[in-house]
Amino acid sequence: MSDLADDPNSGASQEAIEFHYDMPASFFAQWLGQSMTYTAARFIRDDMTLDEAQQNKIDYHLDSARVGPGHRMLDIGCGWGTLLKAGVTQRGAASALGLTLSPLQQEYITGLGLPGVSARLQSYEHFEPEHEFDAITSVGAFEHFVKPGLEPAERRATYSDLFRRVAAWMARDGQFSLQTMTWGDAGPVERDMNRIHEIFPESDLPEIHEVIEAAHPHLELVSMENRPQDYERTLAAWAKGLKANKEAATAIVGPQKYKFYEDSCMGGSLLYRRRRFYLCRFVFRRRGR
Amino acid sequence: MTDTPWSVERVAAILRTLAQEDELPQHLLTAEITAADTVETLGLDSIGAVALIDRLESEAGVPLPDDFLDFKDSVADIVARLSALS
Repeated sequence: MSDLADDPNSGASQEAIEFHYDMPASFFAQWLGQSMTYTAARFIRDDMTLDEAQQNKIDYHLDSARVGPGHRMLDIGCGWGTLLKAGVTQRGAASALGLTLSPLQQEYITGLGLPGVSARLQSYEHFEPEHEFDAITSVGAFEHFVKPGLEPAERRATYSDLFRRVAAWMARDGQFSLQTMTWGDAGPVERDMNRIHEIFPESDLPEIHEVIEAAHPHLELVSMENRPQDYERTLAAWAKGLKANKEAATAIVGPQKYKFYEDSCMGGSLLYRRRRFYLCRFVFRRRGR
Repeated sequence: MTDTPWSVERVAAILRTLAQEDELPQHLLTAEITAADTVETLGLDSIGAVALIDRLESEAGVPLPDDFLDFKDSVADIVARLSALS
């Protein structure tokens, strides 16, 4: 199924990813909304619905990575393939390849049967592309690329290795659109109390400066935005969706898992309101002219 | 920010507002809340405790750490601690 056992990931293992993400798509469909994306939406207006804000997020990444007609696109940590699908159907990309560590997500994308859209059950560290990519995206996966307890130099080396790969895979004029949670206004007390390591096993969040420093040798920073309010609202909307569909959701995953997701969304929204986390979107381009 | 002094009634009103907003257990809407009640006897879990800290922070107008409250803290303790801050 995968080659990960022989050559472990720097970040979360496949098993750790499965713990949080490898639930039936029908469960997530109960509360994620139409977009079926499990990452922060982009609420640029007060009156936006979750679905509108998710579409804005999708457009943001397709614009930032400059996905266009005939392009070959790569999405690192592709979830249920929403961005891949949008790249092909909304922007005319020729192909869109996703990497995921969730077998159910990979099966789901394959099952869509969309021409040009495919997914591999593989970590970016084991990925060897057959061709360059015109556009690369990664939304809500960077959170899993380092394990907790590493020294700053080890973290930086791991992050830097990702950016080195992305730069090497990217075609001339290619851009990389990256969305990730980072640590926010959280001192030692808040980090200690934080259940983030239970929610995302074997994963630790980056600091904003770590992302920028690790990318700098390989890619040029084009823009960044920090919008914690986006995740505050997204998580609150998911919690509302879960509660509204509690019976159906519980029937699929059981009461214990249901509570895990409800608490994660409620607690997450609250901690975003308190700015213990930030939600950052970075756009990079390949070096050289 | 407000000059209203901290009291059991004020903390109880905040707890009820949070219950109304579905952030805290619904039984708080009708329960009698006394000075001796603790975070634990009020039925708050760890997320509820942080929700309360968050609201106290915006009422007090000063940042409060996420460990500002312990499960054993009583409403009287909360009043005393907030009064000492202002």
